[in-house]
Amino acid sequence: MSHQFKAEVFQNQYLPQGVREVDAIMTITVEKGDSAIATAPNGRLFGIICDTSGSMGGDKIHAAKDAMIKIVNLLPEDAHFFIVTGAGKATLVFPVSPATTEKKQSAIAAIKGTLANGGTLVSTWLAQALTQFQKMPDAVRQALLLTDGQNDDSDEKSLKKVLLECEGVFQCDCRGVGTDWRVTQLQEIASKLLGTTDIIPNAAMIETDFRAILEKAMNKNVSDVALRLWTPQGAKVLFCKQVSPDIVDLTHRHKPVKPQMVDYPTGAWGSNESRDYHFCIEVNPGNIGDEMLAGRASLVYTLNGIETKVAEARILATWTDDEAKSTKIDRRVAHYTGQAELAQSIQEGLEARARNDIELATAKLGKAVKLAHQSGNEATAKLLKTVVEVEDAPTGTVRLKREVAKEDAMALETRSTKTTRIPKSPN
Amino acid sequence: MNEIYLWELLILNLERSDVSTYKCPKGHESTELDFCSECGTKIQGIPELPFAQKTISSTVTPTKATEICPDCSTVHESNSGNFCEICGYNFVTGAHGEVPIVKGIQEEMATMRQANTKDSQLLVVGWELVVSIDPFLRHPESPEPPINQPPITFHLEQAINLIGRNSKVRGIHPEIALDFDDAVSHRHALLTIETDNTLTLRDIGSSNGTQLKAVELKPMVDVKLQDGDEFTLGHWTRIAVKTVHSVN
Repeated sequence: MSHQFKAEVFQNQYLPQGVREVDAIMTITVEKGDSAIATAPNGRLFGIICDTSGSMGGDKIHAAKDAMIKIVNLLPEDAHFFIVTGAGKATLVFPVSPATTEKKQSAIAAIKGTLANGGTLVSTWLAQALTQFQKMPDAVRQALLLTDGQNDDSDEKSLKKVLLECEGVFQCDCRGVGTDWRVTQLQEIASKLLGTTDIIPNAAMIETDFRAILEKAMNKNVSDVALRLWTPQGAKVLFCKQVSPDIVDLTHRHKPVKPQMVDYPTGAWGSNESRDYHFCIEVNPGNIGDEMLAGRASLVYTLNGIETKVAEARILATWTDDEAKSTKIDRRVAHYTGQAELAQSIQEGLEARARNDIELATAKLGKAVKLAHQSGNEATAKLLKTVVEVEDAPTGTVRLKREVAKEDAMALETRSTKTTRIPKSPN
Repeated sequence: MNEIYLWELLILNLERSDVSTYKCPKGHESTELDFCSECGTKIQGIPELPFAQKTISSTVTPTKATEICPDCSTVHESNSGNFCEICGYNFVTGAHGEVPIVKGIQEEMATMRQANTKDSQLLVVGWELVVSIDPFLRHPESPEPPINQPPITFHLEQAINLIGRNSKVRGIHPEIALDFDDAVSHRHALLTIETDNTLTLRDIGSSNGTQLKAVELKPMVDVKLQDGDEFTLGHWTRIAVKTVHSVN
């Protein structure tokens, strides 16, 4: 392993007497080591899961097939891949194989032969992908799921069950083509499988998106990294969230390691990747002058059955009667608290809008515009402008647009959890 | 290269933490050197040798206003008595309350407990009183308490100490003279340091009485005082009892 993980904690460790909540932002960065770049020692496995239900007929299936062929061609020789298509049941179009020229040719031939018809039972697709991923348990494992429609309601139970089985076995990014799919459904799958969700508004854009996903996946070098958190006796983790590049709530994803110690999944990491996590820990209150450790966070990865700790950072708490110290809020903690509020305002605003509650929708989306403006989250500010007319961004004065393209609302909904970082500057 | 060095350090660290532990100020065995691996308290100073830890007991620093129960981590205020209000842990002897004790360790604990009590008694070298004015104790008919009266500390230098007020006429010169409070009797109470260095309080038939933890004391009956105990007398006088330890 030539990659160096670096962990840094940003917080205001000074608390007034009686306060028990400790907030901290931890930034984890993978830096390239001095030696040559080590690729994933046990290889990489990339799985393509593509919807071929009846609704995909016409342009969409053509575009999807073209995109899949291009991806197969782009696969590096040292990677492995497989292709599953799905409708009412899954079809293994091409089993796990190394990405050699011959294998690629036969895979492309198999892709060309696929037809679109039947229903949509995503659980069967994931189950098939699971058996493929289990063939290379030590590789860096990433899947891409493309669909255009809603999953059949009868599939809900089986999907939940399959997701539990897939959790930790592979990661999956989800993409919805067009506007007939449901954001919450794909988000459920992607968040369980530590992936991202996004909208591909029209079929012609599938290819660029696929390229980006493949590039990201081929950049990953270490998989199965866990964020290990130790907390003192009597302490409670109020929440643990990934807050950058996007918000992922990990609070209820913890697995106990031993008393006072839990692991949160973070999936695979690539070189030059950087993520931020926000911890909020409730500890037993101390006396003025007491200093204690509220949390010890480390990154642990498992390779060939051996656990290795790669970075560690400490979250402190010091009680003081100096108000100048204790009333300060760390700027990163403040920033990400604002970003979480922004995402929540957007979700609540869009929900209210869907219910025709114009007043609440205007209030919530107005607040979102204000927060996006304050924090400099321009990507989200731009998406908000497709849904509301902004009269004055600093005060959050907005009017709801009468006509909103469905794809714009869906894009805002899927991307509302994207956050910005504050520029680095000395504290 | 750099990284291999880091790994070695890490492995060394792991190995070391397997064999030795560090003493936390609250009495835990910590596997971490910087902060206690149990309660997170900062560990200061050089790690002690494992064999020395058993003799140096955890009950050395009862000067803090609050401490954390090592059994159930509840906050315990020293002036609320010797027992944890949640699990019944005894802060003086280290005896466990409701939390079951693993068999086998029990005997070891018992011997340690004896050692602890012995140690803590040896360490107590004296007693002192902090006398303060608490306006909340004032009776409606009492005069206004003096303002800006700072707390007075008395070191008990004699075995028997009289609490009262000076009287030239009657020839009374108490060790602890509370002349500012005229509801204190000239001969009010006695504080006695016993031969085993414990402290007892006896109300010697005062006119207005003495209260320990809001309970009126029976005249001429001895009560044992603990470090941190407070008793009140007169119009608005509050007296806190503290042990004095030898410097370690």
